[in-house]
Amino acid sequence: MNTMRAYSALAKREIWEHKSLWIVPAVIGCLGILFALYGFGALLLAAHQGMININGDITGVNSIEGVRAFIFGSAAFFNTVMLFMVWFYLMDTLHADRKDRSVLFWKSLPLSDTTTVLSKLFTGMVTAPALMLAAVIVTEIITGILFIIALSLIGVNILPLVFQPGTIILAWITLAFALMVQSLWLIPFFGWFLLCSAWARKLVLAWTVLIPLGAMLVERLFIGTHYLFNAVFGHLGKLFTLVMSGHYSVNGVTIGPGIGFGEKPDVFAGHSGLMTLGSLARVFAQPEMWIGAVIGAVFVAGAIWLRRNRSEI
Amino acid sequence: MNMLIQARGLSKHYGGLRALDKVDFDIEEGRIVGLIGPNGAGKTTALKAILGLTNFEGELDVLGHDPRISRRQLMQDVCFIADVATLPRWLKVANAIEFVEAVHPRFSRERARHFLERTKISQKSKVGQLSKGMVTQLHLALIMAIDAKLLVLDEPTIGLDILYRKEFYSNLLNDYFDEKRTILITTHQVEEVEKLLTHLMFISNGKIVLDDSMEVVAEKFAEVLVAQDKIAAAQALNPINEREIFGKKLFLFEGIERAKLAALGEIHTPSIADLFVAKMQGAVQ
Repeated sequence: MNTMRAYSALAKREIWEHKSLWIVPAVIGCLGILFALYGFGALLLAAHQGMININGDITGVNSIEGVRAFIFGSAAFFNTVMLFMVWFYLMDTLHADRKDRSVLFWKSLPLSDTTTVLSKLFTGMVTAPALMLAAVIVTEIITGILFIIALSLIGVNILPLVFQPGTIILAWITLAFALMVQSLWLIPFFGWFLLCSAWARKLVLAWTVLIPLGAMLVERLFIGTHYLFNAVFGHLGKLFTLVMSGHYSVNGVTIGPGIGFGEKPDVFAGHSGLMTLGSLARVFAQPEMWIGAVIGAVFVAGAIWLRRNRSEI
Repeated sequence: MNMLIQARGLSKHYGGLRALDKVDFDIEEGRIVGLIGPNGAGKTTALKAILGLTNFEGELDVLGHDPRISRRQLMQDVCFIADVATLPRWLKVANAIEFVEAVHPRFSRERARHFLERTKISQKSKVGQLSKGMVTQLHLALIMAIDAKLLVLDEPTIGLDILYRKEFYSNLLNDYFDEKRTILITTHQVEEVEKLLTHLMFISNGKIVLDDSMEVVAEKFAEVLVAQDKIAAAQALNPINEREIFGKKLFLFEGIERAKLAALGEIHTPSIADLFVAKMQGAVQ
């Protein structure tokens, strides 16, 4: 068997089954373009009615940070939707074929359960972000061009400012790296969804949410602590502060890159704080990244075991 | 002869229920074996054990593999259709072929296409758009395009109309089976596989109650239509079953010499269905 061919067939299989993996980013992209058109229409109308006073002097604008803010900002909405989509995908993926008994067909092929489960994890961690990134790039090119045209129609030529291929391409590469870091950081969550998907007979969504919430409640009521709550939500929150470049200080004391959950930064030191390749690389130095990876691996191993031994509902 | 499957002391229990109770059997290459039994007798459990889909106690060797350990390697040489319509509804016919071709080293796209050309199935259709009979045709086409050593069929035609059922078995026999291949079938529709089988196994309450070739079955068992005056003589030979037909009695004998039976009346080879009923009633008593 040609192994690469089998792996690529497994990756394609997931997209055949879960069309939302490409339809959702495509729909968000179309909506983004529609909103942009609406916004530019409103802008042109306002300019026509003399409601906008054009100064014309746009020198001194930090165009590099502006371009990066546009690229990362519009990707943020795609990303939020994608994370929910991946959650639902991972919950469904080991459950749906047990429910319709097609698991018996998949199991009649010479694929190990490990390969099957890992192909689903790969889809959540790599395929879904890659499809999303493609939609982001296409949407940004189209809305960017619309933006430039709309502004030029009211007499502002931003093309020389924003046409910075180097900055734009580096920003997209940074975005791709950010998505990879995000997937690695979220492995414990992805692993948990796969475990629930392989285990639950029905109501997978309820299990993915209720078991952690129940455990948090039990800890709070009987032990009086809230370590689990902090671990789960702190882990989710920490990534977004970690990847920001620049340093934070709390109560006047600089605490280095990133802040923990519940800590409030009172001063943003440094520049805009938008993520860079360097600020993203810092995430790998965090012990939580590796602790999370180990927990995630345990969950995935559990999902593989269940797939192997309890495949029928 | 190559031994494909060897089971020794094969057992499986679900809680207190013994689905398989220290079962021994051998299946050699080139056979078509019918595994027949009532619901809950352990047929499906035995198949699942052979396919590595369940854990079990005892020894089981399938093509040199322990199915519990090396499932992936085993599935290169073993194919199965477990129940009808287990193909997922969202799968396109063309994609099904593409996928199996990519993951199965013994799959031939040409063979699959050849089998599908004889049906009304379009490559562009999704499984969900096909009738149940067509889904089975598609599944069989995919499976027959794989050059496997062992094919396991668990109720492959249940719920299909008679045309599809007949076609299913004739395809299997004419286009797939040869002396290098082995087929293991469980089904409730025994009449349909009767002429297909080379070997017969009955299973009841987790135990094998009959395991013979069809020739041996035909020699060992005989059905005799006995006139009223010879009924007492027939009953003296310990028939395993008796029933009334047109005022005469039909007796089923096991292991009685033909010469003795010829004196009682006309001898027939019993159908598997009648044999099955007799054996199962015997097992209950």
